[in-house]
Amino acid sequence: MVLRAWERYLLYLLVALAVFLPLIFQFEVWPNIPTREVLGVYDTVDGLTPGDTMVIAVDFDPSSMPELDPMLRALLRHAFAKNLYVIGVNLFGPAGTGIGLKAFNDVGDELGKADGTDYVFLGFKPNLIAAVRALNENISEIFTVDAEGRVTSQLPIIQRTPKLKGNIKYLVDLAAGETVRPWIAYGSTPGGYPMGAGCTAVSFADYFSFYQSGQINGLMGGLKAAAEYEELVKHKAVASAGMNSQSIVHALLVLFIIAANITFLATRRRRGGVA
Amino acid sequence: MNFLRRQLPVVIAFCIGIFMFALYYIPSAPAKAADETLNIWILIISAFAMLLGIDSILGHHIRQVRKRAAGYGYSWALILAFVAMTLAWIPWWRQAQVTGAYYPWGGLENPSGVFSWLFYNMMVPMQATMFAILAFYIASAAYRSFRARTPEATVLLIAAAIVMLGRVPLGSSIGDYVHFGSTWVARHIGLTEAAAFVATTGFMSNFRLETITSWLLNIPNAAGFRGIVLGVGLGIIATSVRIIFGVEKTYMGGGD
Repeated sequence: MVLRAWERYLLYLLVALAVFLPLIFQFEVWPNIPTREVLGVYDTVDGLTPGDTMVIAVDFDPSSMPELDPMLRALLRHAFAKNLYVIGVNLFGPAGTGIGLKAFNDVGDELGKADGTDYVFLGFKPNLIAAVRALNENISEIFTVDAEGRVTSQLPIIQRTPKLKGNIKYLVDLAAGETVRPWIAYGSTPGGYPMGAGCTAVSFADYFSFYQSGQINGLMGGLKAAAEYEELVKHKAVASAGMNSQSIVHALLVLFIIAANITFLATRRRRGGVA
Repeated sequence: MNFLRRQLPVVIAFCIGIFMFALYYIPSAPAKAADETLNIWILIISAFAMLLGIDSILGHHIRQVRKRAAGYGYSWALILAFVAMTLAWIPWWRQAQVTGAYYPWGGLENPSGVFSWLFYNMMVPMQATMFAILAFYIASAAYRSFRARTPEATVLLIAAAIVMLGRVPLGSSIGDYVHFGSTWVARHIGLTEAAAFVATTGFMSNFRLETITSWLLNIPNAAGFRGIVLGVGLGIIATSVRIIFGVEKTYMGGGD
């Protein structure tokens, strides 16, 4: 079906209004109840002992940032509040390093954590599978310097955690692409540490089978999951602000589908069964 | 020459492939050390692949500019952006720490540098904008294409609508409204036992959008996706065996 120009403009205008108006005029009508999948990640982080080390894989780039960056910041806030040591790494694409570094430094500064001692962001390395395998055995060998150019073997956090295998208590992969599966197969399973994941809303269905099989113990899908995590850590931020927009846009899409099908069925009936 | 181009790569692929495969089954320290060393080699070779990517994309756009092909202005934008970010990234001289003078060069390790500014204020918003535009295309595509033409398409359409609503807070609230409404209606038409059943057993929670969404993801979706994953796994094994034994040679390029 080809849309006429005015129909296309009307659709775009309605979507734009559905996105912008709830962001400008904030209201709280629909509670965002945390789901079992998000609680899986939250409860694991919450159950770690202060002084434990966890890894957050920032496997996304700016295109997925609106959904995954709020998730990353909420997760960091939770980990730092629990006094956990956090190691960040990006094995998806070079652009993810800047996002990860900024989030780690922003939240770390805000909660008074020391870069290099309480947390570190290692940066990017190509070839996910080889990098994951190497991280399990020796962090400093593959990341000789971190994202800020410091020699990793001299950083207190890396001296405490020279390799992932046997040292870390949890890993969360925030994935924009196909990174969860290699992390499970070459990282978490041989390394013997539990793993959770976060992904964009469109990838949620893809990763659900890993959650169902128990290979990941929690799964955060899209902005809604980020908002749920913000609720759990009691620090509402951009994801929570976006929930009203997302609710209205989703409802609008369903209305579009219903309207289009009514038109389609009416046309088919008028033409005697052929649309 | 033919040997170097056609036979030697196959021999190398065969030897390395078999060796890497065997290492998995040899539980000894030398085997582990060899595995780790080869793993580092893979990482180094992968870094060269990025150089090939840069060469490929720049080469393509330089050709576009030379030919003055349609939209060659965009090619200029890419080339200039590439050159600007590369020049900004290079630490041309060491920062004078004592003077505290402004230092524009270097990568993300210098938060006040030109590269960081270009990255956070141009590249990040532009990439995020490209993705954000998808919302408009999806709205248009949903309106144009989601049609109940066949029973299968109707099932897909209904499932999509349920998941779309079940994955936002509005969907959970619809469940609350339905639960409240059904209890209220049952009570007001005199079905007090039914109202009590609905209110106390949570029977209606089975029809909540988020419950149905969870079922759709847990059962039909997980079953289908697991099949796909198994198929991909078997495909990877088959392709690996074909490459190791020299049946599959397309990775050498050239198509011959």
